[in-house]
Amino acid sequence: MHKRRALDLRRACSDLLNHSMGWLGSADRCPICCILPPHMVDEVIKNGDADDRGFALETLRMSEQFRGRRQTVAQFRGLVTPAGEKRRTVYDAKQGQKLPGTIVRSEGGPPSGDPAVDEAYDGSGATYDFFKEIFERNSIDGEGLRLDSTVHFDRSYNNAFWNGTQMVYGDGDGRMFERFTKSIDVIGHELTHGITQYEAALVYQGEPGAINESMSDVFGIMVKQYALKQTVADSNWIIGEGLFTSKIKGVGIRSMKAPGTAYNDPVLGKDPQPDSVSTMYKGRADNGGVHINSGIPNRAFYIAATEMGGYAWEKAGKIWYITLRDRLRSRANFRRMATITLSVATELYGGSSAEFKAVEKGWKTVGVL
Amino acid sequence: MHITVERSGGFIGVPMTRELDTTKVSQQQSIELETLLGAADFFNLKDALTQEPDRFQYSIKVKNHDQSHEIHVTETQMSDNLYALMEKTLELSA
Ligand SMILES: [Zn+2]
Repeated sequence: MHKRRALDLRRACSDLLNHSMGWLGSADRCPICCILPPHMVDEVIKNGDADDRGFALETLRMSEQFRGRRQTVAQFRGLVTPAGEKRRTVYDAKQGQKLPGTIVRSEGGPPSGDPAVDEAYDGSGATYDFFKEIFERNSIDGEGLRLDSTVHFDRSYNNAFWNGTQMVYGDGDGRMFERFTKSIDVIGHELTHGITQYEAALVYQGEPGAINESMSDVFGIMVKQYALKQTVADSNWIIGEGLFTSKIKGVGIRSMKAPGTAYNDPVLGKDPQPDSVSTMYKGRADNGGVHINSGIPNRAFYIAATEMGGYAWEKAGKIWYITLRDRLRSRANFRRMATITLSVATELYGGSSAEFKAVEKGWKTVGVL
Repeated sequence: MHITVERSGGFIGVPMTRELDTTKVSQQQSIELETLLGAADFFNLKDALTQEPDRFQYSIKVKNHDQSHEIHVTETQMSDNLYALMEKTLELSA
């Protein structure tokens, strides 16, 4: 009976995904990537057995994340994530694809000696500290969510991602790419995907998807700048510096300062990022170019921050953070993003302030305004 | 048989295209590809793109003497056989 209900839940999940939210993923392969109506989840949490309850709680957590925190009722939050401080756990997938893998380091534990493990631990710690100290944000959900990372995912995997509940890092193939924990901004990037999921919940497609990507780069680079105490002038504004092996002609994966110039290599090809809307990618690959067109809002942020001077997180970062946390809606386009950042700049510094003009200059230079 | 694999997305977002003409690989490798193609039921597969951050997206196109089919799929939606077909194609066309 209980097993049956769990199956029915998964079936309902599957149907929902197929009919209205197919983009969230297959319920078969990824049972957590699912949305159920709150009343169903509510009922299972109260009345289901342990299995059902676990599934329902996970579902609730996921649906909260996907819908965006601002739009949800947090009535079960206490059950899902007890409030706390920095709680990091690093797992080892041992080159398999099963998540999370085996625990290798927990909060307060000694270094493991494995660079990937220790970089994931330190990098997620630096990211947590950045958001806590600068924006008074307690972790990804603002309520002390645990920071889980898995390293050594898959074989020769040239990627890192946030899967909705945790960070995951590949080792790279060693031929073109190094391990993905090597750049601290990559860790900040992945964690910011989690924050975006809880806040603006930007759709991962087209312009809102490129804004989602850009937010991850913007806060990712600030995590690095904060860790190194770099001003806007000290930073090279390169995302993924150190990820390429010495065989590749490139300084990193993306340049926020000069999108399209990060690499140009015989094997890898040329960095495809546009630096203004006039050369925007319109194809269907990469969810409509989310990692390509992110160059446009990335450069707008770079210009705004550089015009303001000092540390990026002090003013430009604050404007972007408030925009992400309180103002952006899930389907926002570049134009909407620009007008919101301008109105936040007006509220914080005034409509004729240097900060307002810096933000305006950023969006005008990239052709959004 | 002609196989084209296009990869996009991932954190790196570096687009990549690889093509493989199976008449140019060993007979054993060609048979292995045919087997994976059949096991994956490739010619009946539909698009399965999701919106998961930083995951790879694949476009896989296969053309043989009497049929041609192309699918667009996120890596999380690929069966083990389809994933193996993609990996094998990349390996042999590298
Ligand atoms: Zn990303």
